[in-house]
Amino acid sequence: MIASNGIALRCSGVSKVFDDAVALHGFDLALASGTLMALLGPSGCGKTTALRVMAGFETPSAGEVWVGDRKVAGGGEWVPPEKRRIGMVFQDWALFPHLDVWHNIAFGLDGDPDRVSDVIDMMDLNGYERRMPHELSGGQQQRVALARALAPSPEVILLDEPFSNLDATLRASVRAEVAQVLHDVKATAIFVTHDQEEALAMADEIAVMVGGRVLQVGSPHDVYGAPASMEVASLVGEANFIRAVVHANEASSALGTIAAPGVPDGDAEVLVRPEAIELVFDELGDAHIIRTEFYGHDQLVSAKLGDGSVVEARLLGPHPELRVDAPVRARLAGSARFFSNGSPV
Amino acid sequence: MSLVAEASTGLRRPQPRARAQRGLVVSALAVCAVMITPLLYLALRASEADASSWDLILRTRTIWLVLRTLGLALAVTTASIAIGVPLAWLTTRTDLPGRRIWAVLVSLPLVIPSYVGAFALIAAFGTRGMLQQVLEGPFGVERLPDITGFPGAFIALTLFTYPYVFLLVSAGIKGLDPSLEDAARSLAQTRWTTFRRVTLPSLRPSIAAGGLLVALYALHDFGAVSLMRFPAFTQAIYLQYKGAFDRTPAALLSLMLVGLALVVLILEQRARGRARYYRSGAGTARPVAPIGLGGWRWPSLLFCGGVTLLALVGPLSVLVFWLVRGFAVGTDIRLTLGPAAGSILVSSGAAVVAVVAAFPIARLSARHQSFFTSNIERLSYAGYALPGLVAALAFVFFASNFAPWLYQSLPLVVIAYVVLFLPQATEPLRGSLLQMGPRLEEAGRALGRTKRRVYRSIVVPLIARGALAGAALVFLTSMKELPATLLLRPTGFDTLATSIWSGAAAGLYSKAAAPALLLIVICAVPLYILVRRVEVERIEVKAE
Amino acid sequence: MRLRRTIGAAAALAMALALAACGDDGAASPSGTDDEGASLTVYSGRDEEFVGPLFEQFEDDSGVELEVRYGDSAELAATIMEEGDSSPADLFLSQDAGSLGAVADRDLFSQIDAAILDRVDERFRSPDGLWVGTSGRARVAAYNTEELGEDELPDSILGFTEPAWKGRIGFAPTNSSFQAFVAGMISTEGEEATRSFLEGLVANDPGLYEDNSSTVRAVAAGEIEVGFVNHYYLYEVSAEDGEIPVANHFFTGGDPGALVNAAGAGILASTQNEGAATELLDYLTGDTGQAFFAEETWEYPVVDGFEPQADLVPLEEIESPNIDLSDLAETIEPALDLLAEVGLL
Repeated sequence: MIASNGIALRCSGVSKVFDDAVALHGFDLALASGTLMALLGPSGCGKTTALRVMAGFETPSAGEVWVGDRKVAGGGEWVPPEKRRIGMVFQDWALFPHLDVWHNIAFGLDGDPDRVSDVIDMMDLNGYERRMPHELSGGQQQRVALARALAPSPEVILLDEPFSNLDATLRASVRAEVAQVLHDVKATAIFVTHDQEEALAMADEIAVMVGGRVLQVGSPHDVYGAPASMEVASLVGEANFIRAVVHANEASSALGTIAAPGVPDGDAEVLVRPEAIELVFDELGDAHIIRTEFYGHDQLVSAKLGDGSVVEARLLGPHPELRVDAPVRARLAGSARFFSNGSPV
Repeated sequence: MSLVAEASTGLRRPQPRARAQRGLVVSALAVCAVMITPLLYLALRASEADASSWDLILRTRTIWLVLRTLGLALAVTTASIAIGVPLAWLTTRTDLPGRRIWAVLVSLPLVIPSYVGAFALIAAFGTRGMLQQVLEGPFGVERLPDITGFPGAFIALTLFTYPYVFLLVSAGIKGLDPSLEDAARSLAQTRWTTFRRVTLPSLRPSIAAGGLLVALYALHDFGAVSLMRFPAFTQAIYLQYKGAFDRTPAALLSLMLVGLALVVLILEQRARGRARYYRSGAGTARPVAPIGLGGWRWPSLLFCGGVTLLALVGPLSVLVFWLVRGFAVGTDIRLTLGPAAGSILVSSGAAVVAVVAAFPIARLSARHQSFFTSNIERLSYAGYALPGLVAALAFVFFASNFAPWLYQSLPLVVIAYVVLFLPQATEPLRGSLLQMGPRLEEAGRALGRTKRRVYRSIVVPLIARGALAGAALVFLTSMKELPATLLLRPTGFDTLATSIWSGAAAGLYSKAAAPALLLIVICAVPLYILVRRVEVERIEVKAE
Repeated sequence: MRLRRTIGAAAALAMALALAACGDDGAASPSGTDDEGASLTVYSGRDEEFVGPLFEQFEDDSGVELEVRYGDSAELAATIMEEGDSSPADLFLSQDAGSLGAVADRDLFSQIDAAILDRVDERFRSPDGLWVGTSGRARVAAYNTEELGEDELPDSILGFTEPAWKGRIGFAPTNSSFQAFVAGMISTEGEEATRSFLEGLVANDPGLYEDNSSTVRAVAAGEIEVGFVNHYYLYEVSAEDGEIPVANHFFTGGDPGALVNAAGAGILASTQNEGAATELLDYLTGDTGQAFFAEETWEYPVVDGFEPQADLVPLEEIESPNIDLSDLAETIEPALDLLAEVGLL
């Protein structure tokens, strides 16, 4: 059931206070139907709390929560979780240990075996119907948890760090599968994660959250390329901040001169992503390598620049000449974003 | 409580069946050898049976006796579960006012010996008992309905054994994974259907374990059923020993009783179900918000109050009444501390030895599940199934004839207690070990700690709770033990239980009431510790 | 940490109590008489409350130390039978003849000195000289003096099967004295007659009690008008509860209801202390012992020349049935069966 304005889930000015801490403060979020949104933030930023408030396991101390056209929390209204039609996939999956796969998935349905079979098909769980949860691998349990949440066709699905319990090797493939399934069924979903790669790879939209509030919402490209603050910039992708002095739309920095159209004169911080830094071996260069990390397909190289600042550069291909202590010349080889007094310019 | 090591692999296979080390198996076998002493004795006596003895056993009356006793056990178990589970839920999960106090109050009936409790119930609620006397004036009630026979035995046993279910299920609830309930609610289940479809099945192992302790108690109890004049199996055994002085049919009957207990044991294992109930989440469990009772508050309080009134206040009032009347009439009631010290001494000894003895068995059962080990476990229940008199006579026979230096000594009393009550220590320990999982020990060893250090620094602290719970249960049950104590104690050594018996046998109720009240007061302390501080670990189970 | 402290405190407490209990041990030993060397182990099925003072007096008079083990007569008999030749007991004092008979049947008693045997009334000793009675206990009908006059009571216990007595009688079917009485009736009247009698009793809706004291108390309270008990309970209960409106009625004419059972003792064949054991037995059946039983426990002396309490019907006058107490051991099993058949057990 799609809301009249296409917004499946909305939080307005939600705050949540526990006896000793403020978990959410002025939390605003609007999730359009059919969107897969990532709620990204460091540990302790309140993202799980936000999820629980949306699901109805916590009552907001202030603010409102809407599911479609219904107000479910705030201003005297309260709809308990079982009535909200919000599905949830828990961090530890919470499969019912006394029921087999089939019955776990069928749990929220009012007896609709065809639907169960469809979901089992869709999640590729054929053959596992009679297995008990403890007889399944992590990835399989994940799929069952998602299948169970999807089976009743909820309006919104919430996923709480759904991949954190998986082996690293498993994570990537499971992620892709889950994203595919959610898109196939045109689900409206929010998943909570602290893993930026996950957020960037899977989500249609990313909401970056710090200290109980949302700092920026946008597509992965927007959030990555045009972060609303330095904090967001560091949370989404790796970030180098270079000191620069701007004069007449030009910034001089340890990376050389950078074009700075529209940037006011004075001091500024320049956000340069690692992939935008070029390091070239140069006997006369004023920078030198301090650390390298080889990843096979690329490497992350840290270099100390002439002005003493340290940057990380991501380089493709083998660069055996770039050993530790090797002298290099660093320059900008991509886009840069300027921040003045913490705000983007 | 988190099992980070367990969760991080994400892959959960059934526990690897590592081969148990020799030392462990040997100690478990040694413990078992002592535990089956009563069985050996019975086998010996039963071998003297001739046709007439068998005749006695296979009569219709005996079959009738079996059915009746099983019926009583079933009724008591069902009722105990019906009382214990809601009480456990109310005191651990809801916002019931004063729930911490209620938790202690509803556990206290555990410490009342069944022979005292049944007696007090008759005095209080008998046809011309105290209640009738109170009602006679204002309401002209001349005779209350007779509660002896099945109803009386059923009520007496239920009231003083439901705390076993209460304690084990409370621990089970505390160990529940809260995200299961959240998951159910996210799937449109109301609170009630969540409880019925998710919570209750998760509590099955705890309920089954509590039910087992209750059922076996109902099978082997003699005091309550004889006072209530309900002809149960134990009475038939006692009549053979004490009326007819014929040991052979008594031994045959006792072996039949052990057989019944085995049936109950097997039923309990079936009842545990196929599932496994680890909590596997990484990170600590979120404290669960108490459920608001709302309009159910008053009925809940009434329920708790009613149970406490019947099971605790009633018997205590009767005891106090007898005591006061004794003082009024001028009876010489001396409250010496000797019997109290004696009780505490042997019961503490039994508690410590029981936990130490239970450990190898619990460990084998938790880590090295096999046909062999599960039978070792079953054998350890042998003593628990028998009435105290039978186990006592077994020890009289063996000790006086083969180990006279041990005969009628305190160590023998302690050994007898351990044989009688070991399962009360094994269950919590096993649950503790299962919950801990083997990964933590392996992690310790991988960090370079020797096995011994791993034991000391990792295993012992983590199972300390289960061990303490087991010790507390054995202590409490030993404090009220009577028949074995009477027969095996060193001459002149008194416990509170023997003092109670001494007074009651002489018909001097006030002299029995004083030690009875002291017993209850002393036992309240470890019970309080058990309820408030120690979490009896959730009972775990292996998938079949 | 708290847990460790609790355990430590408990251990310390346990050790302190151990020391206390050890000091308190041997409560039966007298204060300081450990000269003479001789020490005797007595198994007593008679309660410490009643017989303890007599034992203490013996210790003072003879200088022999006594270790008395109190318990239930039948359980002690069973214990002796299990101990067999290794029994540490020297003397077994039992509350009833049945237990003595059982031990005698297993050849575990040794012959008693003729001098002692001859002293005791023939009715109250083993014909094989293996045990002697120390005091007699008569079956009576205790009746409520406020409700009934003695003349209203039948002369024979069989009279209580009349329908007129419905709801007015009571007894304790699990009590060994009652069971002995039924066994005695089988001996004299035969099984069929006993069965009819019991069925008649049951038809009269009798009150059933746990023990004799409760039965007497019920008579005193008016709950029942007549209770079948042993004669001395009247005095025991009055001592504890104060004056009660109850009196004893004795049956006459060799009636089965007039059975006089005996508490008694025997010397174990396994004893190492035959001399001292005989001394004790002599004491119990001698002047001091018999006077004690007459005056302190309200029982019947079994030796000529001693009078029971003033208001008791003299022993010679009780027209008890002609039964050898030793024979009770044979009829006890059929008695138990009968009781079970009619539903009293």
